[in-house]
Amino acid sequence: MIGQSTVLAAEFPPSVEDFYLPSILPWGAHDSYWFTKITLLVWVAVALIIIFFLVSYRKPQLVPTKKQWLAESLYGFVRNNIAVEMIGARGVAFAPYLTTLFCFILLNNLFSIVPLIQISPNSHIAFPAILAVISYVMFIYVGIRHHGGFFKYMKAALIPPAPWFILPLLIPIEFFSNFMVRPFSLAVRLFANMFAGHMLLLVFTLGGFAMVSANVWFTPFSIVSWIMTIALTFLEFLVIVLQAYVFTVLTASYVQGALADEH
Amino acid sequence: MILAEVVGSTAAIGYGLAAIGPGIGVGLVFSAYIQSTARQPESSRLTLPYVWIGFAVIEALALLGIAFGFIWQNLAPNVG
Amino acid sequence: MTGQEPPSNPHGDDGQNPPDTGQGMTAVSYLLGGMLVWGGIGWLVDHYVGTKGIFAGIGAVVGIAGGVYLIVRRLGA
Repeated sequence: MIGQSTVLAAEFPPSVEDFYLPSILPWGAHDSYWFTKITLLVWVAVALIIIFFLVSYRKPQLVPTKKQWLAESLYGFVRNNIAVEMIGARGVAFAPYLTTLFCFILLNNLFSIVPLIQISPNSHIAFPAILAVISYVMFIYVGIRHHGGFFKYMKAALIPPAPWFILPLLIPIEFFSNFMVRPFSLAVRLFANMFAGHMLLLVFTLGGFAMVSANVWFTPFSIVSWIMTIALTFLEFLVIVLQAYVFTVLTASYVQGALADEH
Repeated sequence: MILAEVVGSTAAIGYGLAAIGPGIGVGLVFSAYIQSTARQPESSRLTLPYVWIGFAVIEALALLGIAFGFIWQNLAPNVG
Repeated sequence: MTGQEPPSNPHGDDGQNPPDTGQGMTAVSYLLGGMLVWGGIGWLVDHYVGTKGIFAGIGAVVGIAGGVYLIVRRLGA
């Protein structure tokens, strides 16, 4: 992105085309998006998480070393404050999945503000969509196994406490809200936040360069624009952590709803 | 003869007018919840269900405003 | 932090969900879902009967009423 700015003036305002990065393998091929910087970033994130947790647990000691303390803090935070808080005592069984989800989303989101990387894989709808589908399948499967059958789970999840004659009115609403809005909103919330954050940073950065290259007397405005970029990067950091937390908390809450017995 | 005429989307004007009331209403509900929690924090768990009831009933009108704008947008020019 | 035990009774009262379980999202999704589902059904009826929008309007109002009722029952006292 730093290299592109010198040929810039034609590229402002930024558009969706800026999210289609050039392909790495084959190098520079047209219209080929199988292996780009985004794919490389996802592989790097997965490798980092696996290596970090494996290395910090290689020789666990009772008084933890610094790396072990960091890994234990991450897991303890998700287990105590998300899994057990939402699901209760059974939440400990879901804590590994929730920790992995939280770390993966957080690391991918963080790539959006690290210099020289500056793009998050979560700003392409595919990655949040797959994560939402995994959480969706998981809470339905947990519900089916807890209630003992697909129709028993549907009966428990879809019938609200209401008199029998208005049930036909309410059951389509419950179905739509429980089984269609939930995964869609999980995916779109994460995607829209990452997309909009990246677009904001692009607007202020490229706008600064566009103003300077249009008229050299606009330089003070460009400097204000770049200061806004720095301020927005801090805001973006807050949004990043919050979105990872919200995705994990909502997944835990849906699992808790599937495991709940009668109100 | 036409004395005054409004062209364009009257649905947008209608929704803008319709959103004034629910905006103030939802603000009142949440301000009451925040103030009551500030005065007596233990009551926050007790009063939270009423927040959602109030929010639902008030927001229903705002959502009807935007829905009718879309549903009735293709009627004859002097209706809606 | 894994050295600490998970809190044995995280809330003072048992049987109720913690406040940040997405109740706000549930409320909005019941309202919007009710309007979309029954407004959509009303629009389909309109399409096949040939009227210009009356069934979609009725469907939207009925859907919103259903959504408000669901919120009062599920999230209310």
